[in-house]
Amino acid sequence: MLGEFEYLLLTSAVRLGGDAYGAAIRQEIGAHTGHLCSIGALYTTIDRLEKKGFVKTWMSEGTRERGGRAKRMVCVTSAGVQAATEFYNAVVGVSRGVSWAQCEIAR
Amino acid sequence: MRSMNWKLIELASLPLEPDERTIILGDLVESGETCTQALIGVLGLVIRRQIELWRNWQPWLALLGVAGLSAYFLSGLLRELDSGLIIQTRTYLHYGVHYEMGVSATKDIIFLACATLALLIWSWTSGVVLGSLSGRSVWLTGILFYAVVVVLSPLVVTFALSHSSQAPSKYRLPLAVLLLLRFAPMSPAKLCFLITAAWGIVCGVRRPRLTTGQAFTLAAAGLGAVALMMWTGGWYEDVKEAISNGAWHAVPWTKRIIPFLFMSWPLVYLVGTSRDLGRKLGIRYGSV
Repeated sequence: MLGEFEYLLLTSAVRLGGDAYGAAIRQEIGAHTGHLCSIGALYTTIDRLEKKGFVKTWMSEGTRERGGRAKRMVCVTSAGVQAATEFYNAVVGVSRGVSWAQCEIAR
Repeated sequence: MRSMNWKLIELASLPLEPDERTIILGDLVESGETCTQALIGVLGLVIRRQIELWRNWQPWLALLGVAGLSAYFLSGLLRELDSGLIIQTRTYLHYGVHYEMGVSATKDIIFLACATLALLIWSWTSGVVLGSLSGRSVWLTGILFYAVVVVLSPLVVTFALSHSSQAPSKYRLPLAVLLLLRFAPMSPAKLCFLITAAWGIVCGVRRPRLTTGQAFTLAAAGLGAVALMMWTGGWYEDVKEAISNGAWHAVPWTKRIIPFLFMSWPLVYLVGTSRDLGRKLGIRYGSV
């Protein structure tokens, strides 16, 4: 079972598609949760997900806006998609009938 | 970000692996965070990575075995060599004679040469083992190794000197000044130790395993150094016994060898993990 931050990371990476890399994923998570996660939390979670086989990472070419420094690109694997789906279903399932979930449905 | 602040962030990110460092610094440039936020982020990652490293046994062995045990005994040898060299050099420069310790000048010189050789061999060996075991945690274990050898053991003496009730107050130095003097490699023996140990650490990080031939050669040199220290150290024991008219009993070599055996475990480790022998013995080896 994924952790909540792992789920956020996988979802953001899938949403970003081919542009998923450390800084972009961090911005994406920040845009939805309201605060930027720490770099330490981000990269140790990416490492953990890679060990579990849920993501693949590689170094890209450097870009000018980063002063020629490389990016760590992230791609979610099919195992990662399956784990995220299971987590989402579990959250939706367990939330059914509770007040805040009903509010969300009514909106 | 101002260049000074950026330098600080680059410095804080040094313990990271080169690739990760490049990525993190690139991310920080792109995100345009303030210096404080960036610094906290980098330090957070460094601490997380260090915690991961310390989940392995290798850094612990480096810390307890080299920066603890070996360093403690190495500091004794360093002190002995330091005081011997300083006393003899000062006496010769001021009075043109050798400081009489009960043995001839030739024997004093031979003893100091043997002690220097032993210090060089054990500093280098300890450095190699420290570097090979510590991997990326070497900056911490390395500092602690230096601190224990050069600072910690004479710390008690330093503290006693600064607070000695017998010393006139005008001759007492503040503890901070004494500590600084102890920490700085300002004596020939300390410099010898620092350079050799640092060279050993670099070798250990770059190439964690010696060939069997190299390891056995080093072990033979180490054993030779132990034998020389036993032999030359015995001269002073005999002198002490003779001067005290038998009141002082010379310490037998079987007791004097004990610190040297503790200091020599890195040699055994290097032989055991050397490329061919380590494979034959089935020793699983690797730095972190």
